[in-house]
Amino acid sequence: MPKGSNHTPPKWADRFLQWFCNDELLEQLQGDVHELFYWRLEEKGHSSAKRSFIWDVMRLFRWSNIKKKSKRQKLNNMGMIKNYFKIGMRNLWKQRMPSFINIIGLSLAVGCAIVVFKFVEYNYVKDDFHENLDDLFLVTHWEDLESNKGRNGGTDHVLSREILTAVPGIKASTRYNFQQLEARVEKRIKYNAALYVDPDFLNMFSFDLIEGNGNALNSADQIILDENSAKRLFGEQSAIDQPLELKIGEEWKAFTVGAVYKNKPNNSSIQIEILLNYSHLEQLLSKRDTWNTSFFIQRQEGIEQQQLVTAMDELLPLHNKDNDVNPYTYFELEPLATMANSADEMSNSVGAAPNFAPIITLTAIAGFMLLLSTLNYVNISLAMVMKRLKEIGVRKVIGGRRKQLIAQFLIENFLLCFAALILGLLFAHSFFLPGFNEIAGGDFRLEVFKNARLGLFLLGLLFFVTIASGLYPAIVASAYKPISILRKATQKRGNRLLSNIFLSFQMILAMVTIVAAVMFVYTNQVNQSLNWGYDQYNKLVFGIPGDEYRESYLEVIESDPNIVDYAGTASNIGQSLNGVEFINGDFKTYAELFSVGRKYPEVLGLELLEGRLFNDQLESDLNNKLIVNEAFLDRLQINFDPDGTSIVQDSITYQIIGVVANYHYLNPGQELRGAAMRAIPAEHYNSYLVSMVDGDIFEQRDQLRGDLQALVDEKTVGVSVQSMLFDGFYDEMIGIGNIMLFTATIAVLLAAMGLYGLVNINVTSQIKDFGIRKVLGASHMSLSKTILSKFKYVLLFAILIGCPVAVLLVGTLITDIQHYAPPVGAGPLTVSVGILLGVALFTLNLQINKVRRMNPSETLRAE
Amino acid sequence: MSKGNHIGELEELILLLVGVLRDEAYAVGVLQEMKLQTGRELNISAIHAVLNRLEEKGYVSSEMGGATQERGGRRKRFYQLTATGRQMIDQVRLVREKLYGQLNTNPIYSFA
Repeated sequence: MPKGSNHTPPKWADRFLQWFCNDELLEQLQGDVHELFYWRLEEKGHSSAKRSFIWDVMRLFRWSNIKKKSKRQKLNNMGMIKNYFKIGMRNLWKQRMPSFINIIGLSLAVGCAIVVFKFVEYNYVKDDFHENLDDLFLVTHWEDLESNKGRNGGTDHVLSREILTAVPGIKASTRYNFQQLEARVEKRIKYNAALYVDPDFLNMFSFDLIEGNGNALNSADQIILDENSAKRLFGEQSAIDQPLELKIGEEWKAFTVGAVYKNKPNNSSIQIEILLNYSHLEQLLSKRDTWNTSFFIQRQEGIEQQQLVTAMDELLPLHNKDNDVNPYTYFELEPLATMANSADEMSNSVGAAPNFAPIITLTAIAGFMLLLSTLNYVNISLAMVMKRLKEIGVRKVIGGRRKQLIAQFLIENFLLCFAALILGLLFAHSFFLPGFNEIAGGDFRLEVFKNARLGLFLLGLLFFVTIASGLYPAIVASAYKPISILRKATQKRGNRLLSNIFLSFQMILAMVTIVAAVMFVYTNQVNQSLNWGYDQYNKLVFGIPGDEYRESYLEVIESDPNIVDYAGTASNIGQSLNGVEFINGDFKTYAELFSVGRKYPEVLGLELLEGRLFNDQLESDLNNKLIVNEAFLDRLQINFDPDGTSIVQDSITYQIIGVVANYHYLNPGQELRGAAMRAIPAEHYNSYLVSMVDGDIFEQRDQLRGDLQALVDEKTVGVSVQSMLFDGFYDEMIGIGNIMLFTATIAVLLAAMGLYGLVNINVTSQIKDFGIRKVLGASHMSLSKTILSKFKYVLLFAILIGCPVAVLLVGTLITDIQHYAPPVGAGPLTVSVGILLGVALFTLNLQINKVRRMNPSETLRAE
Repeated sequence: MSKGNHIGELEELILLLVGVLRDEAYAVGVLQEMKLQTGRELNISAIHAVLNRLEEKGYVSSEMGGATQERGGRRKRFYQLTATGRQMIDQVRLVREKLYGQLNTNPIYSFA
């Protein structure tokens, strides 16, 4: 070998050789080519030697020299990986505290992610349980409407019959029309959803029969119920062969129950309720030429969708000749699997498209959680790795490759993530899902082994979390040079900055979630005491079951000593809506038009601002007079004139006689728009509003209901409490508030754990420092200051950034859900900052106490 | 081996060189010796292939040497002639000589 020569073989060729060459042969072959290179260098000069070297390497690239996976190598790997697992377990145990924090943090986030996954799955995956799923279609068509092209999920009934006879390749079909029917069982009348279908319905769709005959629909006088309907109509006794009457049109028809099916699965768009033969609808509508029906077909095997559509389109010219109002442009078959998700794209659709707002909100929350816990993890792992530098150094010196080190760290990470996943499943199963079910009213269950989608999701989540949380620390740790580790050279401080950025980010997220929770709780409180624009207390509302009861109801009302006043009405504020277009010159706007009795505004207690309310004695008030709210005037740009202000609706000119303060005819979440009341005569009343003396409103309600029920035979009388009309909305808001509280709790917990972990590692790594300072007489105060000083800027930064971000994000979110929410002001922000600081200081204090109690001799003696 | 126990010309040459080089018989050594003695310069890859083949046939045996300062501390694989290898060389030589002996040493055609 020539000494002092700078010439070396070309690196890339050398690497190439290392890469492809079988490890057992590498040493001798590489040695040979290197020796030859230096020999030639002397003999023939540099460039020639280089060329020959490359040529040699190329020639060595042959089958017998190339790396092959041998059985022995695999066995070696197994041993190594087993060893990684062992070391991983030991390390997790050795660093119990940070590992525990990581596992708990991750599992909380994983639990949330699982719940959200179930929710999103429920929203998106519909109708996937049918055996014939791939062959089932809803027939839809496109039509030219006056304004635009539109898609319609309803098919002309006559056309549907023509399709059946003219289009080949249809194995089965069913029409599907929904109607609300009165059902009579032993003189009790109940309202029920009913569906007119063809007998093939139950052959096409896969629902589970409980008892009875699945072909019952073949006879027109039998019906099929689902469990819910059977229970509602017949109670606990078996419904099979029970008689039942249904009021179809004006006629009561007698049926017997032929079969009972299990309730439809949660995610089914197709309903069961009560199924009856389609011939009844045909009889009911026999006077009409045609009507629309949802028309489902099942194709024969091997028939292409396009063949069916082409054959169906051929019927259109003839059809459109007779129906020139809304001519069909062309047909399109909507597969059952995607029917619900495209429900928004068509009119007369079956099923509901997913609701994006909760999906996005919940996904964002779960994403936040995962992000928080992953950052936590990265942060703590980075700090933990610093304690293991010697292990890395030694392993590198004895020949551990960087790849192997990364693999080892990732395997440890995998163990931890796996533990977190199991714990997360437990959390989700026993706490989060039941809680979520309660709030959202769902019926979500975890079936890990039955649901392949969930299994895949979990697997994906596991790998994602493992890589996301473990890759960066592994790469950083494995990059250290063994020399600098072993001679204890000071490590770069670059990680500090990154840790602080992560921690700040966590704190900002925690801050935002706290503000969100505080705001939702606060808004709920504000809304509970919101002025509804009228006196909602001590008032009962009930409908009149039929014209014949109007007088007898009135007698009951007048004889009830608890009733102070009453008014008849056709619209109930808080329950009814009737948006119509009002015109004032050039201004047009939609506003509510309520039809009420003349005493109604007074009994309800609307606040009169200008003009007058209706006069019970003035017959002329029944003629086109309006009482409007303030918003009505604003939106139509009119000023109230006591001598007469007029407004046009449906070509009738109304005169505005009074203006009242805005009142909540909708739940307080939504913005109040214009609303007007017109008076109607007593014969149009369909319900009564009564105001009661002070007392227990529920007792009064029950008593009144009893009195009224005595008059009515067949129907159940309902009496509602006016002040409870928006309870559904309030409950929902409390539910959202609870979700926000939960989110904030978890976010704060995660941030606190992150902080705790970091401080813990920080303190432990400087424990000797603290020991010496204690020996030298440092006060507790100064020790606390040292610890605090490292984190105070992070906290300050988080608060400074978090506040404006929270105002922006939370403000947008909350006004979207609750229009009358108070602004995100100084109050809620102060409370949130207080909570965050409190938690942070508490966390820091735990460590400070540890330092205080520490005996310096213990730490200084160690090693 | 389908070729049985016969060896080719290159195999024979390398087998001889391994024998000649004794304790210094490794791939590069063989290559250099061959160039020195016969003027033929083969590619190192070809020499490896032949040596492997000879080892498979049992004419040479090999073992890794110790680490030296040369070639970056990488060890060499040294080859040794086995008894069968030696026999083979002898046999080939015998056949050659026998055949050579049958060549007419007294030319019929004389230019005289």
